[in-house]
Amino acid sequence: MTSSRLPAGGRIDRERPIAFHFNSRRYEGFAGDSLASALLANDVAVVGRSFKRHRPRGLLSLGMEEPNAILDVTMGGMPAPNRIASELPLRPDMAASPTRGWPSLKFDVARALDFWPAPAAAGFYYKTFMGPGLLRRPDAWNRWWEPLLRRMAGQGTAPEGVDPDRYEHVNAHVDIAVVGAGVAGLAAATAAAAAGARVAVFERDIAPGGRALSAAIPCQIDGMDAADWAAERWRALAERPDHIARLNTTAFGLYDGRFLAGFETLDGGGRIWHVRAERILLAPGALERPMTFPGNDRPGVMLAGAVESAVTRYGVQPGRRVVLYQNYAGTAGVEAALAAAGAAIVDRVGPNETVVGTSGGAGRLAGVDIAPLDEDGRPNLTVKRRVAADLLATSGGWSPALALHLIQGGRQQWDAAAGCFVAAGGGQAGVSLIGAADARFTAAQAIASAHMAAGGTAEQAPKVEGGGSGPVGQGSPLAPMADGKAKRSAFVDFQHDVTVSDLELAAREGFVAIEHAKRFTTSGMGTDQGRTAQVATAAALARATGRDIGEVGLSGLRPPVTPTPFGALGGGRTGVLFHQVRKTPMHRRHVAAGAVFEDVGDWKRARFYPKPGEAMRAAVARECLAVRQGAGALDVSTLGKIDVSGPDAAAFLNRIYTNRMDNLKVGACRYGLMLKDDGMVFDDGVAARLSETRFHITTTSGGAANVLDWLEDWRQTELPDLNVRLASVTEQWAGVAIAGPKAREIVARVLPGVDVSNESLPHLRWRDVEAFGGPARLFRVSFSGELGYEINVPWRLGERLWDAVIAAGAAPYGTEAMHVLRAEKGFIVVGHDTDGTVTPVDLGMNWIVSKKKGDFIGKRALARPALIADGRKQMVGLEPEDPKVVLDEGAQLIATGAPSPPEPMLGHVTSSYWSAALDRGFAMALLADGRARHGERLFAWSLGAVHAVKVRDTAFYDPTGERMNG
Amino acid sequence: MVDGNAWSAFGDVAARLPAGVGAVELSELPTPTTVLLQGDPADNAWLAAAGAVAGVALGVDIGQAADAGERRAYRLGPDMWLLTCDGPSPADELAALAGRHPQSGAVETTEARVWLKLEGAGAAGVLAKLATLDFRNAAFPVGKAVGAHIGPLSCLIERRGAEAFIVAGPTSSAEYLAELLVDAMAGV
Repeated sequence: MTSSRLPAGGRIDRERPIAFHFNSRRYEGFAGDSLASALLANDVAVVGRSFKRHRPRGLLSLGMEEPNAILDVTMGGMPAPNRIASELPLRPDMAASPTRGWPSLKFDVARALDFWPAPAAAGFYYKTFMGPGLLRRPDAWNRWWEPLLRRMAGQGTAPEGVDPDRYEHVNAHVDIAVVGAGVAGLAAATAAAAAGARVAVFERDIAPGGRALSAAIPCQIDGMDAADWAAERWRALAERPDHIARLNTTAFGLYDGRFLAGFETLDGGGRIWHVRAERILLAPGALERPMTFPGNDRPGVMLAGAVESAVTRYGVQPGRRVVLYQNYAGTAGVEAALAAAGAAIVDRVGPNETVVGTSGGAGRLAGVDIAPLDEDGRPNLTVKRRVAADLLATSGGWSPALALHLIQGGRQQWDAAAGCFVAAGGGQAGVSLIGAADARFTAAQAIASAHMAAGGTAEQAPKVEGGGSGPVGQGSPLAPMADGKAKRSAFVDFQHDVTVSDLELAAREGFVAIEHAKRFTTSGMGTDQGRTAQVATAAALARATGRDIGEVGLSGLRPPVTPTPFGALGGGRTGVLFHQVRKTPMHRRHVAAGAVFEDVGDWKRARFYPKPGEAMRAAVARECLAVRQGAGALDVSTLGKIDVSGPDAAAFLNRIYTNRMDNLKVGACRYGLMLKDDGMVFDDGVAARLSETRFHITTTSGGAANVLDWLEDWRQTELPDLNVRLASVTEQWAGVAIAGPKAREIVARVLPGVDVSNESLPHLRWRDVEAFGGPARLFRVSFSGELGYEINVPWRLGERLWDAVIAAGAAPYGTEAMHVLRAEKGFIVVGHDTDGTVTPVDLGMNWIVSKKKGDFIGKRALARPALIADGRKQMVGLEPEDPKVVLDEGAQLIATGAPSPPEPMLGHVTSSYWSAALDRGFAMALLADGRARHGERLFAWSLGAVHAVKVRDTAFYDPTGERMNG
Repeated sequence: MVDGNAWSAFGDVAARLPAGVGAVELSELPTPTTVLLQGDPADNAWLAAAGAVAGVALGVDIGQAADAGERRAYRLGPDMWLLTCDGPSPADELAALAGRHPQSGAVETTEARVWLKLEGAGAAGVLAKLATLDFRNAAFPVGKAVGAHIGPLSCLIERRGAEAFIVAGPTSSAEYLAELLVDAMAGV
């Protein structure tokens, strides 16, 4: 038995004790406890320290609104920061620690700030540490103050390492989704299910029933105790496979299209629910708000509803000598609970009185100072009385929980009669508030309205008896108080130490709008989401500015409305599922050959094939020489491939490419450039004419999907008069490029009987062939500058093709060698040598821009003055003066070898490699007026290193193309 | 050479198929001959001619599949069908219809997709973890077939029985697709 646990009562399982740790000490609770109730049962008075002043703080509530017991918690797997203790069911492996308090929770040196008011005042840091002066020099905030203040403030400890928990996302479609399984939510869900709807009900608690679980004077529903009725209704819903009923599931977001997001806590992880519903009924209940009075943050000051819950639900006596302080009539529930717990109500704060202070030592309440109000409503401190007490049960009224309503665009307004902010329209059609969230605070009101909202009939409505009248006459939770010190100790935001005094300061400095005051004071921010702060903040600002609380209003909210683990938001796609992977049919051959892979888009491409002990540069040089001197094989299955067909296919491609495609003969192929409508190079590839009405075009590996989307966009929206169809055939055809002086011999061995002579198949021709018993296509193309072919076969034959090519004597080469070979020829790679700001003219590829044909995408832009002006960066070749140097890609080109910033940047290196064929480093670059600078000496700067370079043309190897055409 | 094992788009995952977890089993299906067919749905003569070549009626609603024996026609969009069958490809014969029906075209895409069957009481639950569609019987009855994303992959999903779904996904991501589905089977 723990010290404050009652000998009987509560909805806990006393047969199942659970050991847990808090602040490195071992405690014991029971199944059915929350972490918060277990701490309360163990007489843990101080559960944390406040944000700025490091004041000791105890449990204020036992619900989701708790602002103080927000802890770093480990539950078997990964430690999770900022978990609300009252929201966590107690588990055997649970270990919790406060987020602040050094060297200890009990003795926190930063508490010294509490005795020097200035640093705790709103806006102090902005005014003190930003601006001119030594302590405010431009880098001071980032270098000194922010790290220091963040360390002092404490924000929870972010976990490190791999999260061992498992998370998943689940989509659900229902007719009606109900948020909250209190009596209102269950009445609605039951009515909807009875009407034939598919229902989803989500309840954040470990049991259904809501406040019924905590009511000391329970009502009867259909002749049953309300909590039993709730359990029975829940069972009925959960048993039906067509319904979804989940406990431990908090709805944290509500978005357009009645899209509800919830997080279900599971052992070892959790589940994000994505629910799309025809209707959504919000029944999250109401939140009790604390009274704001001097000393209201002292441990031992608790919400009255939490006191009732502690006794009734958890079998805990939170205090023995109790003072009651509420701003409305209706204390029967808490009084009954205290009576059941054997606690004495030693005083009540009457309607013409107020609490003017609290006292106590060692962080625990010992006394309450009560004073009468004088005629003008101010406390008369000359006649105050001090009451010895260890618990002050307080309530500033109840507020409908509007968070989900507000984040989906709903409005709110102050209802003076109800004494709270209520929903006032807005939001989506089909989303409704029911129960206490709709300010229907009695069980009878809540159930009746919920039942009808869900389509129930009056005859079917559950019959409710008892349950009290709900809060009557509740109003502002801001108590009358004296000026000065009293207001500096009257907290509206417990977590961020925002006081009534801070709100008055905000008003004096002009921050009179609630959103401005919130940002100036930080009231309502933080990991508690300001649930207990919102109404008090509005009330304090209203009083400071002489306005009505309704005129001030509440500050806005955004999802998630409760802390949700990042791991859960990320979902289950971790490890091998983290990113889509595309593999060619030759992939396992590359693996077996020891290839090092690189990601190209989603593709895994073999970058190079090192032999044992061989470094990348040596391997790439070897592969390049194999191509230049013999024959190499490159897996080009990743190239995007699109089938373009229809009577207007040629006309369509004429619009897409900068060069003519309508005069391409059947059996021929042609390199082409695509531009965006701004004239910038978008993609490139080869178009092969299969028939008069059909083309096979290729794209870059990473750009295939974008190109197809782009073509479809033009086909459907801009060129609908052209009769043409597009189909992706990227994965229909696997491909191998064979390049090198011996390529013809290799192809002849792989495709016996096929005439591959230059006369029969010259450069830029193609033909249908057969290979391995299937259809195949043989293209005479080259991206290396060597005699080159590409063989395409059906995807499933790709591995056989690769095997045959290698067996015929070709050496495998990877994408790195491919880059070296193409750069030696001055061939560009889109996205490598271009960046979306480069035109064909910039690249020196005027030859590919047709002057004869009609319109094509980007044509008009190419004629605009800015794109033909002097000074544009143009593609050039670079030779480092030191032939051993390989420049960094991205290196900046400058005019001097001794730069002094700001040094004019003349251009940058786009491609740079070591060439085994040239036996030197070389590069391609974009350089302002580059073509006019051939022969100039410039410098390439990168990360502090400067190398002299000579500017030249880009054709480093076989500039006449004899090898390619041979 | 590495080995003489037959190539499979599923790579290392192939050895783990069929995979059964709880109330659901995932298995690989033989790849059918597949043709992507495009044409004018208002051209009844073409619909009849193409249907005759395909061996299955094309007059189904968008998002529905029609079958005739082993031949199936999936209506993917207003002017697009995916035809599957055993045996030789009818792509050339269908493409030849373009001579008389210039709004039409056909391309063989057999190699582009792998085909998987997800079967069991938990099949819809598995898909619900990966796709945003409503897989309830009423919303996704037998015969419904739509293009949708499974995770990041563009796939065809067909309900072929009360507890049986067909998933056709990109060949190059076959391993990834299978891994996604096997992972989602946990706990169903």
